[in-house]
Amino acid sequence: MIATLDSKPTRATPVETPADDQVLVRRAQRGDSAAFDTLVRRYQERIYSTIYHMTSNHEDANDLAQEAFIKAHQALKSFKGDSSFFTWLYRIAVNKTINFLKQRKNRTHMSLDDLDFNAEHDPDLVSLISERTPRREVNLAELQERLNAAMQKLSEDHRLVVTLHDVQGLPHDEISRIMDCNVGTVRSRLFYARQQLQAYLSDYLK
Amino acid sequence: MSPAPDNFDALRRLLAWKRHEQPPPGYFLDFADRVRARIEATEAEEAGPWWQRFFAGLDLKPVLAGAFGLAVMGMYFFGLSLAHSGGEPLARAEVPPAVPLYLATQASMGPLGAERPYPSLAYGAMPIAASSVHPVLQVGPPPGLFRPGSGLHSGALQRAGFDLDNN
Repeated sequence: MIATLDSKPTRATPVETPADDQVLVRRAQRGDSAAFDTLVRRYQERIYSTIYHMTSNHEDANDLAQEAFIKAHQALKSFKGDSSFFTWLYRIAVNKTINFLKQRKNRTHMSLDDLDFNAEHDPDLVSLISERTPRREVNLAELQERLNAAMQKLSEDHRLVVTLHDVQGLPHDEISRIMDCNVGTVRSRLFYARQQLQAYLSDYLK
Repeated sequence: MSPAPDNFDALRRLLAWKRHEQPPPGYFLDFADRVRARIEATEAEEAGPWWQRFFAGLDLKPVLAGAFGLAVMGMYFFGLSLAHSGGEPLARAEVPPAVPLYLATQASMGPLGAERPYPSLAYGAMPIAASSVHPVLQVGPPPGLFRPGSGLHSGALQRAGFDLDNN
């Protein structure tokens, strides 16, 4: 779906009731593999997307997303339910991704996913380009590349905040739980990251 | 420092557009199955014998593989140096001489089937000391083709040639 200009995030907040997850987790902890598979299907897109927007590389995102679920399966017995399964799973995925990014530092290779059919007809984007961009005939693929390149210039922590909030649509408090920091830190990181991105993408945002 | 009120609307719209980036069609259809397959492979690996886990560990940890290679090479050179320094006397002094199987069986059974520590020698042959160059005890010519009354000397032999003039 298309993002609105509301300050509230519109997407990717956990839609399933916590009880559903708790039941599935308990069954999975007792060795029910079907229950764990249901949890994988429930969160696979969000986990993959978060990792993809952090790495800008489909193959890396594929590997890391699978590894995150495998790690979650291995650690499931130690999950006590202090946080929601969603937050716990995100933490695993985010930690794995940040470790990976630190190891591959300065070896960024983008392998971008295709844009879906709606991208070209996104009314927000069309209006943005026609109103603000001096280059009327903007090439969408080029814009995608510039956007991802700009994201890769941010530090891992700043990129993560932008990904979780502005791309994934998670609220600040959920992000603070995932990143294990306070909400103020999330807000200030978000502000700084947006400033950086605005400078990198000034051609498209005049 | 508290962040100032933002004017990032255009940027946020641009970032939200990233949601249109999607993996190849059908990518998520079998994602859970791929995860399940990898979980089962990992569990099977962990349940395998110790040497399988050891070599799997070498695959994942190149440093460990290098250390293992060095250890193997070290053992090889240690063995080589041992062989050069004291290997031959060991072979001569401690290894009992090998004998052909039929001699060993005959000798060890004895007249009453009692076992003896070393076989007696048949046909009056003198043994040649066994060593790494002569690993098998030699006891003279084996009975067979060229002994009188057997094989080629048995009298049943016919000449291979024939006389052309008689035909």
